[in-house]
Amino acid sequence: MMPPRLVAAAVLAASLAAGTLADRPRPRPPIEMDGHRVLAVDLHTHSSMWSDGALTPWGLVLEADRQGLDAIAITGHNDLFDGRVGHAFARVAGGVIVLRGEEILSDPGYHMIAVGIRDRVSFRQTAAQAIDDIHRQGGIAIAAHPLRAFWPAYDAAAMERLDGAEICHPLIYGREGAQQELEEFAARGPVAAIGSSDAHGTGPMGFCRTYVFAREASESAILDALRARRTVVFGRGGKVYGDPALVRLAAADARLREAARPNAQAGALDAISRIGGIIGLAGLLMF
Amino acid sequence: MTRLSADARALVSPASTFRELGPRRGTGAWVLARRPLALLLTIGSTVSILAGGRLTARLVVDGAISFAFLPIFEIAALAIVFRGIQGRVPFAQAVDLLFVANGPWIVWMLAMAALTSAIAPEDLPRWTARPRLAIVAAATAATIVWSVWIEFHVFRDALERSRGDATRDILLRRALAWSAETVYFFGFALWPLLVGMLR
Repeated sequence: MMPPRLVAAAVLAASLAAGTLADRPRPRPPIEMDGHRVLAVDLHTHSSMWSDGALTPWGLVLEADRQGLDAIAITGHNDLFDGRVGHAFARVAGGVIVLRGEEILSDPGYHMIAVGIRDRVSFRQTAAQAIDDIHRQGGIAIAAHPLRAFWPAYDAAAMERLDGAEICHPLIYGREGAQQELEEFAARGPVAAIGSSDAHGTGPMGFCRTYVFAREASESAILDALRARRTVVFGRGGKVYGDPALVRLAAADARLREAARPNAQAGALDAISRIGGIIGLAGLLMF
Repeated sequence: MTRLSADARALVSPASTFRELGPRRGTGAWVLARRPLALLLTIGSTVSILAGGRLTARLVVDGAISFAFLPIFEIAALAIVFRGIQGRVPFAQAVDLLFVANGPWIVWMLAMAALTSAIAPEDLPRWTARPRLAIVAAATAATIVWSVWIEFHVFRDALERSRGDATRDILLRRALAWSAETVYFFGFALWPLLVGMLR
């Protein structure tokens, strides 16, 4: 009879093989609508080099490809380093477009995503000042998970300048009333609807995603489309947000709604690898 | 009858397990590295299941790289504490014994992986908010207490420290390792918090 430790190791190895076999990029055929190239993007992700994510910057880029995303922004907390590393990797590896960014965690009490910037933005300034700083660098400012507690920091001056606000975020699935608070915030100004996963590696990236209607698949075209508020987001319960004309187009097209589901391709090999992996590791601990 | 591993026995009866393991004279790179590597394998596997929904070599390696700082800081903190311990156990063996005390964290990670495997991605955020967050917090607190209890017996029974010395060793080692890990992991996110506290 085989020793139990050997059996556990074999189960783990087989599970790893099954999961690795199933680990292929989700197909993402180019989608064109109304003369625009529709790109699936996640503008709020965290990696592990100098942020509190569980994947490396290059790991995030590869995972974005697996989750059917066309572009991501890597947004370290008050830091650009991880974004720069991911951006450099993507330029070499190709595939997913990476925008350099950061999540500004400010002392006055707001969280803001800065995308498409070159230098760090100080967190010791008001939201309006931070947005001006981002715009001077050619970037886009997005209110990150703007729940009621963050509203006082976004005064009238900030709302005039703000480019986008997260209206779909994993929080809406976890906290009672979060969806309504994000909707109320977005109604305060003419902001682009943004869906972001705030991925830290503890859940699927692209769980909430933004469809950007860009002129082409490039970094500058994505930033231009965000400035022009040409976005659509599929939220909780199939609700669709964004530019009204584009929402009508997107809602009538099953391709976007279907692709917006995380792990839509999850199959039997994935389940086998998960269950077998847990059993194998538990066996190695026990025997 | 199949004998349980030392890691499994240490989960429930650490005193007798470490009294048995203490006299062993393990040295060399493999003794030093085997349990830290096993911990990284478990961390990488958990990351893979949580982030990708499957166990895949790409994510296991990536998760292990991301959290490689944990065993490095744990070993560095032990090295500092170990300088004050005049004992018969070689350092490589002490590291190996110390990582036996991570058994509760391995159980915790496997439970997390099992939970995320069993629920839909839409339901996962519910576990980051009350009331379910309280269950996660309670499980985490229990894991901390459990692992500290086992680590106490590493110092007390394997390294043959007095009760007082073992307590001091744990407090110093945990303070060093956890401070370094927190600063590294949360990085720049801590700055606004510190600025706010200093004002």
